[in-house]
Amino acid sequence: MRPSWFKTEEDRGQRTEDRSLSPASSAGQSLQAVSREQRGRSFIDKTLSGITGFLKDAIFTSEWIRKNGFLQGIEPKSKLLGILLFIITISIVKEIYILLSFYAFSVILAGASSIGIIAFIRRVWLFIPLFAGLIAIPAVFLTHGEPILFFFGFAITKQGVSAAITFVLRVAASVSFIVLLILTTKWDHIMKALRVFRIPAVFILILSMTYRYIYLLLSTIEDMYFALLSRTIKGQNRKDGQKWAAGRIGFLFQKSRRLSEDVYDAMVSRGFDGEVRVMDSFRMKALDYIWIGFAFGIFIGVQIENFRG
Amino acid sequence: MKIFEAKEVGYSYPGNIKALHGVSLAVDAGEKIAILGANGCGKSTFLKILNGLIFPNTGEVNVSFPRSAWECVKLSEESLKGVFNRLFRSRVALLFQNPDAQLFSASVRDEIAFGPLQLDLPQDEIIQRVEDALMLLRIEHLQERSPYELSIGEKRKVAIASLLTVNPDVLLLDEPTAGLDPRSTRELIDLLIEANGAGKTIITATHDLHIVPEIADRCYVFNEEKMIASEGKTEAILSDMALLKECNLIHIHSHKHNEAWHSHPHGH
Repeated sequence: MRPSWFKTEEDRGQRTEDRSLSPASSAGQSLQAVSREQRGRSFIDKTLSGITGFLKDAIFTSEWIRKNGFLQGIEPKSKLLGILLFIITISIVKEIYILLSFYAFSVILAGASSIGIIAFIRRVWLFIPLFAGLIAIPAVFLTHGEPILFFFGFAITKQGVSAAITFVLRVAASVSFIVLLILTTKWDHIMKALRVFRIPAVFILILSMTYRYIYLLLSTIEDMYFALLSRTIKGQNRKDGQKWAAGRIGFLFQKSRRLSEDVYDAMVSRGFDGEVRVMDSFRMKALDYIWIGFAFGIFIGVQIENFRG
Repeated sequence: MKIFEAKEVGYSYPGNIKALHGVSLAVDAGEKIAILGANGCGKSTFLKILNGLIFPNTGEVNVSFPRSAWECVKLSEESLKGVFNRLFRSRVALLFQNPDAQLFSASVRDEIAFGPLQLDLPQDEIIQRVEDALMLLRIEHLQERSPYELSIGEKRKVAIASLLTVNPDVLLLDEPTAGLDPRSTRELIDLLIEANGAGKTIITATHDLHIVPEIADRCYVFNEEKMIASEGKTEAILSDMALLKECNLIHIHSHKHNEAWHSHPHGH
């Protein structure tokens, strides 16, 4: 039985809503005012699109993974091992010019792996001033040595500047290699490659599942917000928005709890008995051996240089 | 030989929410049967019970496997351990209604290999089974993709492939055609007919009546009281309009034929 207000195109005269929304009516004027309000994005909109956009871009980007480049051609276990060797080497380097060479090498690797060099440099240096810079600044003033400049009564020493540059460069070079690994390797391949360090398979499975379900929850959050938007005619005030967000957080918690039970059931159903078995499908090629050999050679070279110095 | 025998099975979810009440049925090895019912009538819960994932509060389910030493074993937490658990998991597979619950691995290939890996099959055989399943479901192009990159229809195909690699004797399918386009639905039906021809038992829970004549010789109809309202040959069940209407499986559908409106019962 159709309610009397539920009118179709055929029997619709002037609908109550239509009358109240006509431009001449006072309600119509308030609607126009609401439209102006709606042009400014609500806090929910900004927060949700900010969080989901950042996570999808930062974690799920596969733009460069599919490209045909140097690092993409190296088998994940060897790539991880080589990059970790480079990072260990960077941590023991003492000379600024060697650190600069490592950084330059990472940029060359980015170029050889078809990664946009500007995008790569920007990605690395976006967080360096924030994290490494803030830590390094006190060293400029606090390290004893030969003063080169006075700043509001504090002496900036040559040794202080050198220590700060060394620190920032070390962080930048290390971050560059990690970014190279992330941009050229699928997340699940990185996870599998971790097994080379004897990390338990169940731990790796949980990490990969977390990654997979973060995406699902992000999509659910987006869908819920779009569903709200599609039914929002009057605009939303902050209080309503907060109420909606609180309700949805509760719903998501329930949903993820139910999903986790179903996932566990699906695993048990296919024979999971607490012990995880995974397929190791990586095969090493000549290039992989050369890559690891090169990284190891550099490590030994830096060790010898340090020993001499 | 009866592969499953459920006797007066009752189940309630926490909070005393009744999901099944006094359900009794028997399934012979090699049969194909359908469990019909509207949303929320307990079909999914019953399939989970048959798959030994949850256990009845009242009544019992017994399982027997041909060509094995296990006959009339009561499904319970105690029985589903060790050797019998491995045998049961290799013989009975469940397709979940929500493919996101079933696809937990990081890539399609890993997902399809998960079952045979847990059963400790040799590496070469696992690789062969994965290749065959990918080809059978025509999803070779998806093998390196992550489940989150797939459409709902693709997810369902991957979920089905992940069951086939286990090579079970019994396939429990919960709404297998939900989200599939007409061509994929047809391919799935053909696959199920072929699997049944190869001796596999197929138990499908659905409310999609138009696929039932092909995927089931017998039907059990669940009603809104979460009980079996009727059982019988597929033809007899599908022609009982009063029963189907009472169990919310059909509705009167009106549409236009040559400028004239006409109404008839509609079942999907």
